[in-house]
Amino acid sequence: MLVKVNREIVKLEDRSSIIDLIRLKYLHFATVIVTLNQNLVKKEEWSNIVLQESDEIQILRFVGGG
Amino acid sequence: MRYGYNGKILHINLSSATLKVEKPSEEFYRKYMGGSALNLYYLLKEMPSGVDPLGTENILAFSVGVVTGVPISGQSRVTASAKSPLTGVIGDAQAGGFWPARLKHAGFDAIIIKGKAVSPVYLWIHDGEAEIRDAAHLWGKVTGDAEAAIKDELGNQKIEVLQIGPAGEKMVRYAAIMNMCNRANGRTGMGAVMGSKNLKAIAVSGNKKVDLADKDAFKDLVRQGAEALPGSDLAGLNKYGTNDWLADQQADGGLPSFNFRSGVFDGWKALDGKTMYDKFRRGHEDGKQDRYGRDTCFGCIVKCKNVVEIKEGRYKTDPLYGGPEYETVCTFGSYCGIDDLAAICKANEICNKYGLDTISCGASIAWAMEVFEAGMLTLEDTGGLELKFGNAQAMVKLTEMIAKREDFGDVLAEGSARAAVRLGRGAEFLITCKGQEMPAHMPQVKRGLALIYAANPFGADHQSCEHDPAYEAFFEYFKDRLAVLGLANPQEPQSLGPEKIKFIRKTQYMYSMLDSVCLCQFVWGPAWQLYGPEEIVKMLQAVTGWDVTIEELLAVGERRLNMMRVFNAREGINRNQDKLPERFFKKALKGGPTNGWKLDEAQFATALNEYYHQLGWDVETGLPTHQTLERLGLGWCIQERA
Repeated sequence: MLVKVNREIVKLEDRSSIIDLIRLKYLHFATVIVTLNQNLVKKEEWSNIVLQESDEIQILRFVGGG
Repeated sequence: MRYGYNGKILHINLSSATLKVEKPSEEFYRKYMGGSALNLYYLLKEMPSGVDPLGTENILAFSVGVVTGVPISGQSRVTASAKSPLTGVIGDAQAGGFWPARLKHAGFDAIIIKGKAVSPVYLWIHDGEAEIRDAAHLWGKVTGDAEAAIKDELGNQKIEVLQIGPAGEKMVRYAAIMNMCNRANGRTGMGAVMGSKNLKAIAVSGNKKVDLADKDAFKDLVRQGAEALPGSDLAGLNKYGTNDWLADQQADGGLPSFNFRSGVFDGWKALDGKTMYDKFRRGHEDGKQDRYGRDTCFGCIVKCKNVVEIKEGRYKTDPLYGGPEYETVCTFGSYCGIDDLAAICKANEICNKYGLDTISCGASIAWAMEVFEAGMLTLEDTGGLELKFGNAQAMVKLTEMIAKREDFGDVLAEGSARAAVRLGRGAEFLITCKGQEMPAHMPQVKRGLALIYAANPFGADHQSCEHDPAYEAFFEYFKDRLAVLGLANPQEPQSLGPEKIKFIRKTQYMYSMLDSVCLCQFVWGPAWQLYGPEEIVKMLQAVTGWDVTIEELLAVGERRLNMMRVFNAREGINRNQDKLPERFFKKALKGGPTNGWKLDEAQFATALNEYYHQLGWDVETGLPTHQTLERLGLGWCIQERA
């Protein structure tokens, strides 16, 4: 299926969850926030939510000074 | 018994070629800790106001901290301070590497430099001794060649060398001071001050161990850091570097592009951490970039430093000069509309070879590009360089011209603010605060940081407070650490009310303290770092034996901030100079999630008043009150402030 992640089209396996998406691209970062269709998703729910075709996900990491 | 610090400050007068050693009290070290605060003490006590920053009367101070040189991550840092030739107010810059630890191991905590040598010299400090040596044969050498020559001359390849390159010798106003050829005391032009004194380098060597008050407690902290690193954000940084942040800044509409006209840049992917890792990190051809493409500082397990190597093509680069990090990739990249990462690596190499601040250099070029595209600069002005956004070749060429002060490079070597005055045009496109070019975080997105950009004593700086998202969407991750600072009330994005100001102020005190104790802000800090506020207290206690508290440490930071404000007050600076570029209020951003965003003048003015009030500064003038100075043990500054 195709979803949008940070405004870019990404192909995922059907029935992928948010945690599957995190593992794909953001495994090595600890501080990540996720919104699904503009709603904030708590970290404890990442494994439970199965993504649907055309879902819009925003994944942000903390950016400090560097 | 003394723990942590040597108790020795080296005073050098280059005019008279004399050296003396001062041995301040324990109370002095506990009050100022080292770094920036200790430097400010000497600048205020021993330098009159109104001096020419490139004249003989300016004082250049280098200090490490009371914990520098101990075997734990993130402590090998040095602060350089002087009156800045770029801004005309206090100048201040930090760097890491091995040099800071080695100065401590050589037996000294600080070097206070006055006067000007008759001809080029360098300092050789080793095992408690110091001497001034001729550097005529080194003058004109790029940093790699100079470092090699000094090591050969002194017969020791393990010497650490802090130096200026040709840009500092030519007093480019944002010349940097380099060590390891790729660590920079980058901002505010400290390299130009060093060049104005005919001081080429300071070589250090020593084997003196730093005594620890509580070795067991110290070892516990070392172990704690090693255990925490794999699961922390620092682990991500050491794989792809800070360039990985481009993706998030782009997603947020906060990636400064086209001289801050926009918060998005279509070419960002060509510049990001993964692209750097796959195509330019040293060792990438054999898949060994994790082994050869990273570098570290003394005692540090984080290994965040980028090392790039380009062996072929127009932009060959030498790994000796490191590699560009987030700020550099932005200033030579998205600021200039350039998506050629090889060209940016080359520009970074030129800056480290010649000794230039990559932020001010790239930002000055971006400013010139906007002026050119507006038709206010011609090919005749630029010597034939077509300074259009996106012209990578012109950017690289101009970087070298700036370093050498050649032709149009000589104009930009003055900094964009002075260049606008000299040219008589382009002032409306300046992105500076107090004359210093702005780093790569957008005021429209991070409103608290915007306030610090305007009010910070040494100009726009992104390392002087924690960034807004830590007290907004990301609060849940950092709430335990922020609670130690009394911060427990997260705010809405783009807010700038009293509680946000409190967050900015308290984290400003913390960062100010870190620059005095000389701790790396990736490893030690209030939120996302490897170690938080409680560990900072424990580390200070374990090393020095002092029963410090977080309140005492924050007071060190507040003290340093107030001393800087006093320094600036002597130079005639007050709230009138605490400003952001007018275009942030008048012109909306274009494109992406922040399309249409502008700052609100009324919100900003109210916030500035609240900031002064919370700091205990006079709201009308923006200057510290006598009461605040007395509370901080700075009563001796009151006459200076007047």
